[in-house]
Order: sequence, then C-alpha cells, then structure tokens
Amino acid sequence: MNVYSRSLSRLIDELSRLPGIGRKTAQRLAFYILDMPKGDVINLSNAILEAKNNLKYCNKCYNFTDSDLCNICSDETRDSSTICVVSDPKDVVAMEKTREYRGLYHVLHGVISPMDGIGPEDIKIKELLERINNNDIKEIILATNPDIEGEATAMYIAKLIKPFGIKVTRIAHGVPVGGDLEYTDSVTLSRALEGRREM
Amino acid sequence: MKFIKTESIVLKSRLIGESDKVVTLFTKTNGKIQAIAKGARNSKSRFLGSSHPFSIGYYVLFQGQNYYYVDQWELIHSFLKMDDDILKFSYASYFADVVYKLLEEEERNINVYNLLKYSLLLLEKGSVNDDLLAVLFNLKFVTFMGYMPEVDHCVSCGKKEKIMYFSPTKGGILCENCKSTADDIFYLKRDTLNILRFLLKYGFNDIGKMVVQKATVDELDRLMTKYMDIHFDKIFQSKNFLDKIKNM
Repeated sequence: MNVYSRSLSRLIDELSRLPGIGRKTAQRLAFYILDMPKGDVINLSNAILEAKNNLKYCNKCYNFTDSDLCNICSDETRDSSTICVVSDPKDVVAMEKTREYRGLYHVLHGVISPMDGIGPEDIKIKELLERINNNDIKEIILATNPDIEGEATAMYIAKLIKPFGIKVTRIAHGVPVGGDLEYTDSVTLSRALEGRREM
Repeated sequence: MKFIKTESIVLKSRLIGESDKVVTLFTKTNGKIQAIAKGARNSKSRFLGSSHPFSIGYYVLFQGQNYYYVDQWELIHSFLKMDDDILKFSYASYFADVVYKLLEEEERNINVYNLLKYSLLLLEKGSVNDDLLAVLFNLKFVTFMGYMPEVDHCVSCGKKEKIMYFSPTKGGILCENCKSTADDIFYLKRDTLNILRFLLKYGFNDIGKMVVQKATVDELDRLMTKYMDIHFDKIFQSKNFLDKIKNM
C-alpha cells in the first residue's frame, strides 16, 4: 500500500535522485516544501528551470555562465596571459576563494581515465590548445586534482603544450595547513619533500 | 562482524557521497573486493592515500551490509614514479583493467595477484621493455585463468614439425598442413615462436636479460590482443588509450 498520494510520492522520487539524498532525506525535504509558502515554492522551481535553461558554457573557458563570456573571462582587469586549467567548475570556485589568483581559467569537465574509457577527446583539451594557439599566453597552471587521473591529465596536457614553448607549471602537493606530520601518509610526505622550497 | 586483514592492490576508485570513496581492491586473500573508505576525500583523512590506484597496501576491512569498509590502512608501495610518466601510467591502467574486468568479485587468485604485483613493480623499475612486459603479462594472465595457448605442437594434428601459424580461436600453433582448419591465422616467424615458448616457460626474473626486436614484440602484442579478445570477449578501453599514447 502506498501511504503517500501520487503527487507527493513523485516529488519524493524526484528529490531522491539528487546526489547524497536518500529516501528519508527526500521525504523530509518534500514535507518541508509542502509547508513552504506557495511563492517560495514557485521561486525555487523557477530558479531550477531558469538555471537549466539559461546556463551554458562560456565560449572561452567552458565554465558555466548565462552570457557568452563568464564574469571572469569578461573582466578586463584580470591577467589574460595566464590560464589555470581545472577539471571541474567547482574547482574554479575553490581557486577563486584563495583571492590569490588573478588570471583566467579553463575547465576541462573531466579527467583522463583509461579504465573508464575517458580519453583526451572526451574532455576540453582540444579547446585549450585552440585557445593557446589564438591568444598570447605566457603561463599555463595545471591545477587538476593530485590523484592519479589528475596527474595523468596534467602530464598529457604538459606534453601537448611543450611545443608551444609556453611555461607550464603544476600546483604543489603536500601537507595540508593545520595538518599533522605524524598522521600524514608517506605518499603525501614524499611529494611534500620533493616540492620543498628554500627559505 | 567479518574482518579481513590482507595485502591489496588498488585497482580503481570512484567518488561516492560527499566525502567518501569506493575503492576496488584486489586482495591477496579474498580476490576482488569493493570497500568504502569513509571520508577519503577529506584533505586531513587518514584514508587519503588508501584509494590511490595501483598502490599496494596492508588493509584491514570489515564487512558491512552491502559493502566492506576500510578500517585501517598502511602503505607498502606507492608507485610514485608512475604518476610522472603517462606511458607507464597507461600500461599500469591496462594491467589493472584486465584484472578488474576479468576476475569475479571475491574470486581468490594468488597467481594473478602476484602477476599484477610484479608486473607493476617491474614496470616502475623499467628494467624490462614495457611492451615485452605487457606481452608477458597477457600470456601469464591467460595461463592462470586456464587458457594457456598450446605452443609445443600443432593443435590440430599434434605434429611438431613445420609449425608456421598461430590461431587464437584454436588456442595454439598450427603446422603448414593444418593452416586451412582455422580462419584467423597469424604467420609466426621462427624467432617469434621461440620467444613465445620462452615467455610461457620462464618468469619475470628471466626476461630482464632478453633482447627482442621491436617488430617481434609488436607481432606478439597483436597476437595476444586477438587471443584475449576471442577468449574473454571484453573491450579494454585502456588498451586503446595505451596504443594512442604510444603513438604520440
């Protein structure tokens, strides 16, 4: 016997399709939505639809945007000769939070993963090369994740960019700020030692 | 609650939930197992390195309702050099892919475990030609899975003379008279046949000293690729990737 009405059951089903949301949480969210004022519910559903309809890839960096160029690419005060290559739009947000970086980005939308059948042609590497070809770029910062797929992607891109004669750098790996050496695994520590700098 | 304490090789890992990872381990004692490393994406997690593909570690796992969970983990070998070399990474991905796709969950196979472990170690060390190592890996793998090719006498008539062909479908070599019994025949040079016999007879310790021409290794690679294709009927995307990187 289904204890929920058809509409409520459908709402719970749809919500439980979201990542990290199981049936129990979906049920709680559904009841919360039912308790919300009608105006707020309309705003929420419109916001979802609007985001889905209006958001597209930026023509330059392939981050999500609602115009042809994203806010970062259209900002003339930023350093257009440096590109930071990241694998995911969420990584742009993480980098921006540092407030240290003033260059542009390039979002790959994935990493090379031979076992999952994701090759270089499945991510935005070709677009990056076109960008380098058509613009005066001085440095490419490879900021893919420091896991094996991220490293492989970075190595692959570095190999492709080498003939252009552009400076290619890789973000540093090491012990996190506030971390404890005793509990840091040996891989991370080896990397941290490799990338040590003079003081 | 069931606990497993074992040496394992990480075959692959994927993200699950907000900060967890599902790690596919090839354990020495229990075969292929999927285990959740809780909080492994967190930068301060003690399981941070436990999902690094190809690394060898000592794992303590406990069995939950649907999955195993990583309880403790200690690194044995990390293959750090592989991270810096896309070609070696591609070979390692292929080795792991073969084991991942062709072994059933919790199917213990100590021979395949040792094969993968020593193939990865030799790959990192670089003392053996990578392509020859891949051929040896494929040959030993099919042998341990029960599909050893017959290279001593003709699979059709049993003769030992005038051996000139190899048929993946028939599972071995064919003599001049029996070549018409198979549709998929590879012409075998004398050298290639000798190397094939040597590789099947001897192990990793002996191939370091071998000097084999590139054309012969390529021939063996094509032959083994076809052999695995026919007997296992799986597509290895990692092999296509490897071939692409080799031609870069």
